[in-house]
Amino acid sequence: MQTSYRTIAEAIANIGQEWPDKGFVFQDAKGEERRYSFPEVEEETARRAAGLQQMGLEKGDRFGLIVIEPEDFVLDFLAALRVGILPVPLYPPLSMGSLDAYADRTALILSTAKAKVLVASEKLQNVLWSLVDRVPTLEKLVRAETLGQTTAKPVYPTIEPDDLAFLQYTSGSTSDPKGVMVTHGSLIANVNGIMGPNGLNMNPAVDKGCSWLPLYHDMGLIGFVISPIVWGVEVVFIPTMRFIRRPNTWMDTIHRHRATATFAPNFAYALITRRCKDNDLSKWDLSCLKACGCGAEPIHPDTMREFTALFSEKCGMPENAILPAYGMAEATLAISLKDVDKPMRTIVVDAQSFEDEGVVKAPEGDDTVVLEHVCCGPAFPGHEVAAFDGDTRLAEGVEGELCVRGPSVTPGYFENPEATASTFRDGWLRTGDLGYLVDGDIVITGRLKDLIIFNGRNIHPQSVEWVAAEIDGVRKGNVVAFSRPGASSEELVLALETRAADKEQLVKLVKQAVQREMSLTISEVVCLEPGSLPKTSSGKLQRRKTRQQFMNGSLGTEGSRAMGSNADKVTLAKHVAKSLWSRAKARVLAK
Amino acid sequence: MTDEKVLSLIKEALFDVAPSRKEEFEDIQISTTIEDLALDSIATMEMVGFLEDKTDMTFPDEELAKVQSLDDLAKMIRAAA
Repeated sequence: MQTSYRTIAEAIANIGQEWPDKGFVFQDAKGEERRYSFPEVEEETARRAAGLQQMGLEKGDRFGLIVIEPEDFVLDFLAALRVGILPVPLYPPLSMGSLDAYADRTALILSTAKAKVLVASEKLQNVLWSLVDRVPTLEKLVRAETLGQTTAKPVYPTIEPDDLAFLQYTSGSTSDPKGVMVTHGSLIANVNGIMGPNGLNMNPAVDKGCSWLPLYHDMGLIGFVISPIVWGVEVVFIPTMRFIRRPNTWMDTIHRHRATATFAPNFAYALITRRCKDNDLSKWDLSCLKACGCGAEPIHPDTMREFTALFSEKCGMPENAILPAYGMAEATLAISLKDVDKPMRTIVVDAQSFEDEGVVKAPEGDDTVVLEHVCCGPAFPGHEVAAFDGDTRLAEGVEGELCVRGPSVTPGYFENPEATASTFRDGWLRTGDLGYLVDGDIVITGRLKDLIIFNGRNIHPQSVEWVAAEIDGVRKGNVVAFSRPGASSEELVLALETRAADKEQLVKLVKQAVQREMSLTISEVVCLEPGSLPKTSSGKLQRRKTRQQFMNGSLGTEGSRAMGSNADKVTLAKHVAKSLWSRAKARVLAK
Repeated sequence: MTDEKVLSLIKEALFDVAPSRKEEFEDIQISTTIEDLALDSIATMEMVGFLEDKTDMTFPDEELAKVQSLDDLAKMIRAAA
């Protein structure tokens, strides 16, 4: 099955008629739920679309969208798509210490997008007011919930599949923000892949989504707002902050609403597995779940297995529910998903052949050092993925830079031809990810730029980091491996966050473990206070920046992430967790 | 609620969110700062969630933001109780 809609605007206009019994449920911070049926979504988005036009915005104009409440975010966002006005979703401010850096980055993005209006939560008005003067094109700051307060009727322009729907800014470098141009056509193509028979195979009659993901990020926005609107699938939205305060809310909501599909990054599966108690588990019947998608950061097979073992045994979750996924904003959202009906597949390879030659070889003998890679399923129909070494297309089982082409791929970055030119090659989008194909399945092994070359051996920092993270006292997800120039070859350095009292012992254990598991010698282990390692706004470790700070002697001295001095360098989760404290702090100070 | 009672409630919350650091948390005082607890931000918010569940209340964002020490937290719990 494929949708017959050509644009998202068409889908929203028809949603009320086509799926009158379905709708969106918005939880608030206390867990109270408000449901909008799809006919109500259609009506409210029409009102808000008129409100946008009343502000003088026309088809093709951009406006910033910084909204905390899922209800207003979703309705304002969809309203804009109906009339061809382009939202630029941005994350809310983080903390007092980082407000300057936050304002700098936000002002730069809004300037690059040439935004005319900024629509923001009422709570953020004081903090964001200063931006109006700093963005030359910006005319006004508007409260998110007021868009529908008009009696005017919207005027619907013609919208074609090639027309832009919104701009998705990626966490590229701070000085050169890149806005991915997302078109109606690429959204429709991607939704067909995600929801169709080769994807999640969603049936509106029985399927229901549940998401706590931030809506300014593609996984929450396209996966749980746009795809369900096109497909007619009911969704329950949990505020991100509520999930962080009470991770159990996630599974509890799935249980109560009989949700069948959810998505989250790897860390969230680790968190829920760790945090839930026996009496919670005994309450939940999760036999309804058919897809627990996992993407947006490297997928750790052990995390997936531990989650599956616990929730299958205690809550009746189907064993095949866990669903590794691969994607990126430049490909709209998803490139591939594991087949819903099949178990998660991993590939165990001989570490030496893989690291020396980049080829997949089955391990021989029991003593062989091995690596385990997670398969993310085949590329969606109509799309193609291949590994390349420069211009040379590589065979299956050989590692290279993954490139993708097909109708989901962006036409480029908004008004940034240089960045667009360097990201595309002969019609292929260069993902910057390293990986290989096996029976058509996509396997991600690392990032192109992060490779450590150790005595001629290509080492993926992740594999070293995972071994180190297993040691008691090392903060999971907060280890960075990189290289420094050595006498004869590069040397391996590990920077990790820890609260351990006996650092000497910890260093010894880490070195022993990496030696034992990977036959690698670490030259130096740097122990840092929690919150010291630089991260991107979406929570990815910044290996290059860590290395840079290490080389110039500033690692761990630039203040800590937890203190908020590192602006946009906090993890996805931390950053949402922090935004509550900080927003409120900002408000207090603004008073 | 006495300082002692509030403190034991906070300890209970800390043991819950970071069980491996139980010994350390035995020594906390009402004057201990949130920063001294050295919790990461997820754990901090989980602690807030635990306290809210135990006291059956919801702390407003702007009140939470003013909290610097356990004493501040205790005051907030008392005010809401």
